[in-house]
This record gives sequence, structure tokens and C-alpha cells, in this order.
Amino acid sequence: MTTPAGRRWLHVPLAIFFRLTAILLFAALFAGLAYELSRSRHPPDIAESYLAEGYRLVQAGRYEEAVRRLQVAAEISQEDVAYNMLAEAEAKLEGGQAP
Amino acid sequence: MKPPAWQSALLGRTFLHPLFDYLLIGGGLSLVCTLLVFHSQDPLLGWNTDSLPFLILLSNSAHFAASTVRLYSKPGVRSEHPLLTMLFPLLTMVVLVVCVAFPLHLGKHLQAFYLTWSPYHYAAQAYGLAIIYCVRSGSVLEKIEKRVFRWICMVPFLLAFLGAPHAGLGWLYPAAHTNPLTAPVLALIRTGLIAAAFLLPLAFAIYMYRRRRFILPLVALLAVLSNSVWWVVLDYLSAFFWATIFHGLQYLAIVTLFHVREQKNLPANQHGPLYHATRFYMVSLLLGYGLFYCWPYAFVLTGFGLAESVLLVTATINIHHFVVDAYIWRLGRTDSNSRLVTQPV
Repeated sequence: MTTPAGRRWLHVPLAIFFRLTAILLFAALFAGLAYELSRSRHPPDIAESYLAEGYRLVQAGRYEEAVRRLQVAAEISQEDVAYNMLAEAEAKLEGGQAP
Repeated sequence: MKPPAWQSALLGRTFLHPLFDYLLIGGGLSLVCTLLVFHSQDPLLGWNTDSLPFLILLSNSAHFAASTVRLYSKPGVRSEHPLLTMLFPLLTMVVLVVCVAFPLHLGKHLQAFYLTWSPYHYAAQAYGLAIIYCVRSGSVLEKIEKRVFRWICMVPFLLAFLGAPHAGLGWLYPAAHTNPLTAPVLALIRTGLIAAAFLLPLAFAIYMYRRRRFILPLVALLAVLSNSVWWVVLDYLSAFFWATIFHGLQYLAIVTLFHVREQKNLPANQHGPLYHATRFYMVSLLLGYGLFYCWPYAFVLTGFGLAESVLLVTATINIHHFVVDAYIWRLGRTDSNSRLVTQPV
């Protein structure tokens, strides 16, 4: 990723892009840090988030998407509740049952 | 008493101390860990899921950030690689935002792409380290020999490419592992590749010695074989996170050595190696924490889901690291790395 000879003028806009990127990244990092600190008492759980999303999709009758979410939840959490819900969603998907 | 020449050539010219180089950079410590996991049949080796993230932060997260820290601290790099240093980060961020916005259509492919590239990166690192030790020890491989050796180092990547269910072939052709025609062929190829991952590096070392009395330093061979162990044995033992930790440690050790040498060579340098090493690691650790543990929450704050934010930020940082690594480890004649490799302790 070198600049071709004779295109050194590119360095000025590239330097501006870089500064903007750096500002954006550090703003995002500090915002993320502040958000994480504010929620540190009750940290959100990825498996929990997938499980909740899976449950919502099962309720909405979108079994295919629910199975995908619940597979991840089961894999991450290794908990019975995720496996049970996954089995339920898979059965409904195969049977084409209404919610 | 000085050891015989063949003994010194076999040991190789290490950077710090044979024990440090063999255990950390060569990956010897990972082989000890693999034995312990195998013996105890405990993939976590007594660590619990609460404490393991700290280990991952100290090694793996810091190693990802270390490539960026090295990129921007390498003298003259901005004029040498302006697109990589000044435009590529913005492109990376744009791709990340688009993928987080469309996780099911784009995000899952970004994830699969990074998982496909990852074993290639590991194999390339093993090859790179082996070449670094060969150059440092004065055992220079010819062009064609390098090409053959590179393919040998790529065997664990091919193994992972063919075997991963959601990446590599499993991503490009999902039915490959269930199709009655392809599944048995794949299983057979994988068995062959497992044997090749261990036998070919040894065969190459023996062949090179018989061909022109070329001695491949053991530390180079160890780096290649460790990578094979990671992708075969640790994967099989469900302890692959140890491989990511040792890959990170290996990287941090070599990148810190290069950084310290580079900083010490600067005319204005006023500090010792310990100062440069500590500063480099602390900056990498802080950046690693920010990137992996804070950045995803910025997306959550703007309304995106936590799962896709965490997974896709991780995927993007990995891809950025893979690209940056392809540039910062070059050993060309004009590159400062060549000087650093041959520089005495």
C-alpha cells in the first residue's frame, strides 16, 4: 500500500482522513468505556441477548431465524434452558407449527 | 569451551536467550501446555470462565493491538505506506459499520471470512518466524526452497480450511461435510494432511541437510511444528483458546524485541530496553482493552445488538491485524527489519 511516485499530493487528504478516523475511533472508545462503566453492575450477556432474541422470534413464529440465534446461545452458554428452547424451535420449524 | 559448529547451527542464533526464544517465540511452552491438557483432560487447566478473559486480554487482545502500535511507531512508515497507515483504518471502520448494520446479510460473511483467514495468518506467522531464525542464524534458503517451505507451513491452514464447519470450505460450500460424495474424500484428505503437518517439516529439514548440508535451526522447526500441534491436537482437545493465547505470546515476544531494537537504534534514544518494552506492552494492552472491550459498546450505545457488535468488532480487528502484519514483517533489503534480524544481542 505505497503511494505511486508523483502522487505525493495524496498525503495531505490522507493525513486529514487519518486524523478524522483517529478522532472517530477514540470518541467511540471513550463512549464505549463510559457505557460499559455505567452498566458494569449488570453487564449484558451475549448468550442472554441471543436467548432473548431467539425467544422473541419463536413468539413471532420466525422459527428459522430463532433456531440460528438459539444455536449460538446454546453454544455459548451451554445451559439447559437454551438447549430446550432450541429443541422446541427446531421441532416447530420441522412441524411448521403456528406459535 | 565453545560448542561444535553443527551444535550452534542446530540451536540457531537466538534473540534474547535460548530458553526465552524456544519457550515463547518457538512455542515450546504451548507444547508443555498441550501435554498438561492431554494429561489432565481439562481444557481449561483449572482456570475458570471468569479468570480466562484476563489471560486472553493480557495475551491475545494485546497482541492484536501490538501490530497497530508497531505500525505507527515504526520510523518512516507513514511515508512508506501512506494508504495502509492513513486510509486503511477508515475503510476498515466503514466496512465494520455496514456489516454491523446488516449482520445477517453481510456480517456473517465477514465473520466467516475472518475465521477462514485466521489459520492462514497463524501458518504465515510460523513461516515468518522460521525464516527470521534462518536469516539470523546465517542459514539462507534459496527462492525455490522458501516456496516449498512456505507450502509445508501452510498444511495446518489447509487442514483448517477443509475442516471448519462455518469457515473455509464450510462457508463456501456448506454441504461439503454432509454430501455423501465429498464427505468421505474430505475425511481422507484431512487424515493425510494431519500426518503431513508433522512429517513434512521434519522431512524438509532432513532433505535440506542431505542436499547441501543446510541446518534448519531447531527453533524454526519448533515454531512450525507448534502451529501444527495447535491446529490438530488442541483443536481436537477443545482447548483451542490456548493456541490463541500462545500465538499472542509468541507475537508479543517477537514484536517487542523488534520494537526495542528499533527504538534503541534511534539517535535521540535516552532509555533502556526495559523502558521501551514496558511502554510498548502497556500501550498495546490499553489499546487492546479499548478495541475489544469498549468499542463494541459504542455500537450498542447507538442501538445495534450486543452480539453482532462484539462478534463483528472482533472480526474487523482480526482482519486489520492480518493486513497490517503482511506489511510490518517484511524482510526486504531496504526494510529496517533486515537490520534488526541480524543485529547482535
